[in-house]
Amino acid sequence: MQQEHLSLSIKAHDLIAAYDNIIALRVPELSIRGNIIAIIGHNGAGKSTFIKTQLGLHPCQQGYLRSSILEDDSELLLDPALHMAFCPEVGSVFADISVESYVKLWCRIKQGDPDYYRTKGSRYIEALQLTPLLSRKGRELSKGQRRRVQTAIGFLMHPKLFLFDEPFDGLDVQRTSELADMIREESVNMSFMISSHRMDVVERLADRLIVLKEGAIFAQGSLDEVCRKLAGNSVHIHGSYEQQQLADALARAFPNCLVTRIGPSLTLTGHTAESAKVREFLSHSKLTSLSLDESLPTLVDSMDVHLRGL
Amino acid sequence: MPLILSLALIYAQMLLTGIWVGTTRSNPTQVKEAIEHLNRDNLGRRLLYGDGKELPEIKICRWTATLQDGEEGEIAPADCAPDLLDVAVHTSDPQNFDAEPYRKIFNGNVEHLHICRHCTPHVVIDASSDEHATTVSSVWGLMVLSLIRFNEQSKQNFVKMAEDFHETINALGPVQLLAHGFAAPVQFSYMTPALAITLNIAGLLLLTMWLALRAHRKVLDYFSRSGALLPMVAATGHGTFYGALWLLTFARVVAFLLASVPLLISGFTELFPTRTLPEIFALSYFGISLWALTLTASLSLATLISSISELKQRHNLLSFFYRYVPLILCAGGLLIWSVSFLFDSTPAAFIRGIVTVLPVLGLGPVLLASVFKPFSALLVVHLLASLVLAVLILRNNARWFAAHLEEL
Repeated sequence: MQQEHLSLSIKAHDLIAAYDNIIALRVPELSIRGNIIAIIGHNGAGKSTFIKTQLGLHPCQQGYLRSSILEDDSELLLDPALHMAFCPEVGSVFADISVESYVKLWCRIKQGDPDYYRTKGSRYIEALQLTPLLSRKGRELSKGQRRRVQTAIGFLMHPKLFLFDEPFDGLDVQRTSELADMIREESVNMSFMISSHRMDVVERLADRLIVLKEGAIFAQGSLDEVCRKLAGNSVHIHGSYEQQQLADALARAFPNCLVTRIGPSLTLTGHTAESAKVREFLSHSKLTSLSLDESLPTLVDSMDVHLRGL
Repeated sequence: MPLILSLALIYAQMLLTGIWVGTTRSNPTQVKEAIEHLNRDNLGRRLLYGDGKELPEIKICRWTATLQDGEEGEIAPADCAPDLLDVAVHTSDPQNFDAEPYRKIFNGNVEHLHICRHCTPHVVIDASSDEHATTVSSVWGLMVLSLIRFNEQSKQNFVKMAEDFHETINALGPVQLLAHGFAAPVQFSYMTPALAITLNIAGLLLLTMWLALRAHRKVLDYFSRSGALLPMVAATGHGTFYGALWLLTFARVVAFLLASVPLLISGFTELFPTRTLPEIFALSYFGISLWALTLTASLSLATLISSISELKQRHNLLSFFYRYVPLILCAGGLLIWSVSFLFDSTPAAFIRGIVTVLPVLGLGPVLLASVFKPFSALLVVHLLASLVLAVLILRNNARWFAAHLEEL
């Protein structure tokens, strides 16, 4: 987990953002401080709208959504044009010009030096392995490559807050890991807000989470707080038994819980998953030789429970 | 491409105006003078050959058939190097073909008339059978063809026609319409030049707005398609981004105006060499400026409504229909305004006044205000109402545009 210095603060009050007459986001009150804040939720929950509203790309119908960072013991209100960078879900590069010209354009706009990416910014080009792509035209890039270009551009801008919309979508395991490492390393210099469906990566990366459900905040806080709110508890069952049979029996006995198998263990996750109840169930089933332990549910399981409405 | 097309349209508009004005001149002396002026210094020739003067006597080039390696061909005479702006007459017997009718038609406007079987400059007349046909393979060829009406025969016909018309007009004297609600009587007899210039200016304004919208949309589309729109707007701020976008649009519009306005001015000077704008419109420079400003504001508003309504309804099957909403409103207004003349009275004048001051609905009467002269106050109200409405529309739709930025 990232060492916490929690410099980014996000506050919303009486916020409503809508597309025509359809309300996409309704946040009566929000105050959260973190350094890598993840926004998670089902498809259409309002994650992208949240990010766009923060960037000033989507207007608030009422209320406000503000970001600030703690700098020299005072709060600096972030201006999207001055302090933020954004990497959209699809990535971006102009189709008819080379990646190098596109990167130069951004460097000229944001750093005043078109060659910035070769000098002080070269580490981002190298880290994201963009050198072989520089001579290629935008139209020749894949979706993942386009996103790598826009990611590098975001880092080259040295923002106070870097907003990522689905950064891991479509990336293979290696690239996901590399990008997550890079975000973690850079988080000492800048804050991140990440919208993602990749709970495994979010769990490793984020120090604060916002869970959106149908445009409203369902849960927020640290990983533990959010997992507790979403799924309550996890009970792990270890020992020698017929896994499938036991899993089916548990699913019938605890219909509001999620049963998952990891290696030789079974995990029961949900608000009604308690060791005492599970022990009672096992003793009725004459499986007293099995051992139990409790833990907080993982984010993957918590979201599963949450999204299934268990 | 749209820029070139717009310039071609301006040229075509000017050409049509020339033909129209040329055929409606009532004074035979004027007609004669105008034609002689056009013969001396013609805009078409200036564009085609770099000089408006008549060309030297046309050279008739009869091509000779050749036979080389069993294949038939033909060659031009030694002093007849073919040029794309020449005219060719295709015939099966170039040596004995009677070229005199074509010499008369093109003399002074074309350097060479090729009598051949297969040669292909931009204008080719097929006279190989009894039914002749002309093929033009470029805009330049069309421009060459547009020059032929100024040959000697045409000149005599125009003058004769003008003399007949003049006799009829003389019997009536100047015709003017007295109707309620206008600052001055409508001078029907002298309306042609004012109407011609009015329509040309309206055409220019419409093309300018079309180009501006198209350019603006094209850049926005390009950014959107590449996915760079949102990061770029976020990184630079709305104001800076759209400011830059409008600068690009403005540059394109300026390029168009720089190319088309001198063309129009030169065309008008050629058509009406002895008259100034206030004389043609029978308006002061203030009146002309007020009219031009009102027309610009009104057309801008109509274009804005057209563009926004089409964008907002772009998922609708009938989205193209929304583009024409202002045009339909304008036509409706013009119809009411025109019908009011049937009941010439103070209430009819009042209705005309109401239509004239209403934005979009009053676009027709405002366009014709250089001929039918309403009171200046009506134009001022129309101008202000159009500007206010344009600002309101932009403000009310800004939120919608921001919310649908990436879909546009």
